[in-house]
Amino acid sequence: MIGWIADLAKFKEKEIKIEFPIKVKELLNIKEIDEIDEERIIVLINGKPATLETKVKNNDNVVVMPVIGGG
Amino acid sequence: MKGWNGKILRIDLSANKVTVQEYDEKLALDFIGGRGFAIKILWDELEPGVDPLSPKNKLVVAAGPLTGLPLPSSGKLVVAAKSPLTGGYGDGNLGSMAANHLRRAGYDAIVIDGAAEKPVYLYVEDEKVEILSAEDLWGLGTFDTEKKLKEKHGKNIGILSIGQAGENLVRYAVIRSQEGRAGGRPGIGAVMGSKKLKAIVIKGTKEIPLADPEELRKLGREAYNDIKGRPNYDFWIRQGTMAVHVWCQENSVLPTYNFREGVFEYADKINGDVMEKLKVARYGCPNCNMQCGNMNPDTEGRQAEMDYENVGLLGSNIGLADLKQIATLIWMADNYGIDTISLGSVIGFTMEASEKGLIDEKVEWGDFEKAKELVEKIAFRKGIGDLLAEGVKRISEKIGEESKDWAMHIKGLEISAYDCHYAPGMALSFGTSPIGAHHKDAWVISWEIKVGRDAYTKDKVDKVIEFQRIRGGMFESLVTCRLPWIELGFELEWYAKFLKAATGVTLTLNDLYTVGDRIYALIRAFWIREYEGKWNRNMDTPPARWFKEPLTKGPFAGKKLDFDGFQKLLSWYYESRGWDERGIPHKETFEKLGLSYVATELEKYVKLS
Ligand code: SF4
Repeated sequence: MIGWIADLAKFKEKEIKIEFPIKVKELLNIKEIDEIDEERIIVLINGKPATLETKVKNNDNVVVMPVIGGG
Repeated sequence: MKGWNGKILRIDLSANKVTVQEYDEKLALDFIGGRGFAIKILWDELEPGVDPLSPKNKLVVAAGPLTGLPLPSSGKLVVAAKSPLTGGYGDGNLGSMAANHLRRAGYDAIVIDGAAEKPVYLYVEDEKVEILSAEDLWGLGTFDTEKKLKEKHGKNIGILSIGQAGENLVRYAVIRSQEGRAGGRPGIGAVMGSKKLKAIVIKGTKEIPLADPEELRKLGREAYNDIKGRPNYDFWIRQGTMAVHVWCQENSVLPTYNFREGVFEYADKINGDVMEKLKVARYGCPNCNMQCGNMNPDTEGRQAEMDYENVGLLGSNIGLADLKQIATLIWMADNYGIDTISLGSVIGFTMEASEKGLIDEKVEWGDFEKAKELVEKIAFRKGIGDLLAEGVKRISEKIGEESKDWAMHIKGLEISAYDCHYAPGMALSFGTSPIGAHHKDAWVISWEIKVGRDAYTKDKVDKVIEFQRIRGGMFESLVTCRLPWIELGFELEWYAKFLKAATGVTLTLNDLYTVGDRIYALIRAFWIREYEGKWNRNMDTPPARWFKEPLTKGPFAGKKLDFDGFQKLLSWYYESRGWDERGIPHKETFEKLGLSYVATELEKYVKLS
């Protein structure tokens, strides 16, 4: 988790064991999640572009970060 | 006209003459303001081939119809001239109380021609315009200059000034405004220095005429509240653009060791999280409720403003891993009035040249004391500083052909803080930026990472053009800050509403994008007229390092840009814009944009297709 997304989720890095595939969205546990426009978030699973709706399996490496403007 | 003041203040410093020009509605509608006005004036009035540091160059300070109104982040100005760094069109924008005062004084722009014999500053108080002696200010840094001017004229003024770097014609000297920022990376501060103009002081006391003042105030209130309620507002307030640092390291785009790498081994010592703990204050531009200037202590206990760009270039790019030391370099650059991006690139380039034995001076990566010494030498053009003040393109030409591949600039402007070994869309954005390699016009890298970095596809070209229309066209001509939209997702539709309330004119976003295209075509024409036969598509191509030397560190080691892939993107870009394979607009493109007169003039210099 990077930037303000990490700030909302209150963690930067975490290992989570999951029983069966779940959506990235559910992993995050952010209460404001539905207010956030998908367009403003980047999700990478094992380095490949994905979305908040993509399902994650055990041993996947998930990075969630904001789309930012860079000034 | 409402919203626009309809007046441009004209100063001829050689003749010591002041006039006020009333302009017509056509200029306002075709070019809106800011960058639009600047390029129109420079195209119409500059003699081609003029030495940018001669009295014949003109300095344009321009606001737009939304500038200075009670609207989010509207305290911004564009400063422009023919650039002494690139030889082409140069501009920058900065937040300043001078923006509000200029508009309240009854003008939308100031154009300064000629040069004074002795140092002067301009004092504008509504209709009263004076050219005053600046002998006692010449030689001072920007902080002291502002202090003295405030002692003399009171606090309620707006000031634009240059430091010693502008006076000494450092080719990447900027214009400063302490309440805001620095602007004019391509040496607009040096142009001001060449005119012996130390400062512009403005005090405006009038109301800006508005079409629907009540509606505008209402929209303004709603907009400020909307911005405050955005989910990432708090985080933005804490870190501002410094939040980008962690992000860049994670994505291997952090400029490191003169853009050799995209990750820095000490990045976590100098990122936004560290900065946040050291931060002592926050400040920013007028009319802004998301002020992003992070004030941090430097090694001397002074407060320096930390943004991502300057920490990117004066940190990892020169191998420096201490935030306080970086703060010191930033404070010095701000005081002398040097652009921090170009400065970081010049120092990084010097370190690499020293490592490779191409210069006698010994400068090691991360050597803070030496870096400090260089900043001072550059500002005063002392010793090696005289060469370094010329910018990486000229330094490279001087020290030898072999350094050309890693002289990190495009069109002569040093690249801002994003490494593009593995970001072809961003490389295109830098390549086609209308002032040289600056990120302002199309910061596409974030979107690119979202959709996939390997691709060299047309959608990347479309995105670059879309951003250029919004960022480089719309925001630069309305002249308000783009960050509410970019950073907090504040919707673009607001701006069409603001414009309607301010001016009474209905322009859709699409209309504004067409203005953006017109501005782009005209800026392009300016470059081509200056470069004549020497213009070619290499002017839009990034330095060879990104194509030839792959990254060696981090998760993307081995990645580099594909040259043919990049050229394909560039061709698509030209095609979409209606430009030919040389990157020159077709005659028909000029005509469609209402610029037939430009085509006629340009045909004297190159054959149009
Ligand atoms: S967001 Fe930052 S750059 Fe933009 S107006 Fe506010 S303080 Fe200035």
